[in-house]
Amino acid sequence: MTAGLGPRYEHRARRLLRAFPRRYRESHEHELLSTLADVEGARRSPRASTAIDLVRAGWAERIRTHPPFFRWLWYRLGGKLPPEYRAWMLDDLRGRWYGTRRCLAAMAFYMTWCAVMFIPLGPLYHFPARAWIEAFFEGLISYAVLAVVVVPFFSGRMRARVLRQHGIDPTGAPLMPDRAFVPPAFPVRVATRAAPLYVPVGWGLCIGWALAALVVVVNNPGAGAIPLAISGIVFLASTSMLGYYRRSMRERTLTAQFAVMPPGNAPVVLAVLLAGLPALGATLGGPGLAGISLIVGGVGPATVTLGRYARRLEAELGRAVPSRWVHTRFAPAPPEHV
Amino acid sequence: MREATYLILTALADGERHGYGIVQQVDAISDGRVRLGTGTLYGALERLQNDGWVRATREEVVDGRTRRYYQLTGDGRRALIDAVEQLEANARAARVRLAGA
Repeated sequence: MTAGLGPRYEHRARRLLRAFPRRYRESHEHELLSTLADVEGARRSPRASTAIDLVRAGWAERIRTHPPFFRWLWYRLGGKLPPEYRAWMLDDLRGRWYGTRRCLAAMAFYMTWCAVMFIPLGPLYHFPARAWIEAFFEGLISYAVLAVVVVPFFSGRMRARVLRQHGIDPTGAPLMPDRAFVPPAFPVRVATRAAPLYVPVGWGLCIGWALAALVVVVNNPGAGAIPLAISGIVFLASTSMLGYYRRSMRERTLTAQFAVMPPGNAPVVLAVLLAGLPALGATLGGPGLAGISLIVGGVGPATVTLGRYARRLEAELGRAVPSRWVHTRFAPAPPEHV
Repeated sequence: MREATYLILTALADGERHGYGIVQQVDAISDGRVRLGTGTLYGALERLQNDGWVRATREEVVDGRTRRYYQLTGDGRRALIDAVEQLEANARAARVRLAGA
């Protein structure tokens, strides 16, 4: 409660202040409410001009601190952001529906890519535009379902991964002095609390997904089923890693995670990009190209992912890892964490 | 420099002030012509702090209201002086031309 503000005014003002980024609200909300109380505290609710001014200023602040488009896209697809956007990134990670937002952005990107690729490939394979549009929307719908229904279960894990990728300890333990920074503790708390669900839910979804793909392929050997099958395989391969991940969540010491950081998602993003072309080729050209697309689109990224976790496992068992994976600033392990 | 920024810097030129103090000063400086919105004020303060022209000095809670005080930095003072000189030069040029017409 801010002195001098009626409950109705304060409620409305707090809602208007949501236009500002979260980090800004956390440090300035009370100050802003106090100034509003000084300026027009006697009113029952904010003046319309005040409301417009607050929303406009809040969005201007959001836009001012947002990373430029291509940096943002790179980050959304799993890349790293430079340190000057760290405050923005922490807000993004703490925000609601993180996994879904990330997944939908990836979908928009992939769909744009497919649409652009149709221009050279469509005529090449004499593929009717109508059928291509159908396949496009099939992909769109399955991706959207994935984003809204499946991904929220993994949001916590995705958050923790991005934090680690940027050298931030997801539990909020202090880093080395020169990087002293206390991030929110909850991503990992959420991730660990949901851990017992990972394996049953993951496998249930995988099997359901694979069966659905199979039914579609058997009943309708049309083009749109192939990308569905590919995504099913990728999904299966990555989710089979969940069991290992869950165990490691419990047992692995934090310092082990920090001392060894496998490469980020860049290889996967690259592989998916490369896979886009043959996958589309398969959609357009039929079973001849399906084999290629299966190898590049399904096995490629899956192998990269599996390889990364295998190397991490090796590292934990004490085997040698490439020196470029070892982040020296995390290397001296404080004994109390071991 | 935008007018709101110019007026905020002017309001801070003779010492530190809190948010509402700045609003009142801007009102006085502009003879009531500019009503600084709270959002505009804090948006501008955030930008000015990032540019290193303004800094927050202290914070106090009076009657349940949080007051944070802001102050011009050396860079902010220099930027304001530059802006004033620019405006003066523009005004002089305009006056000379108007007198000659």
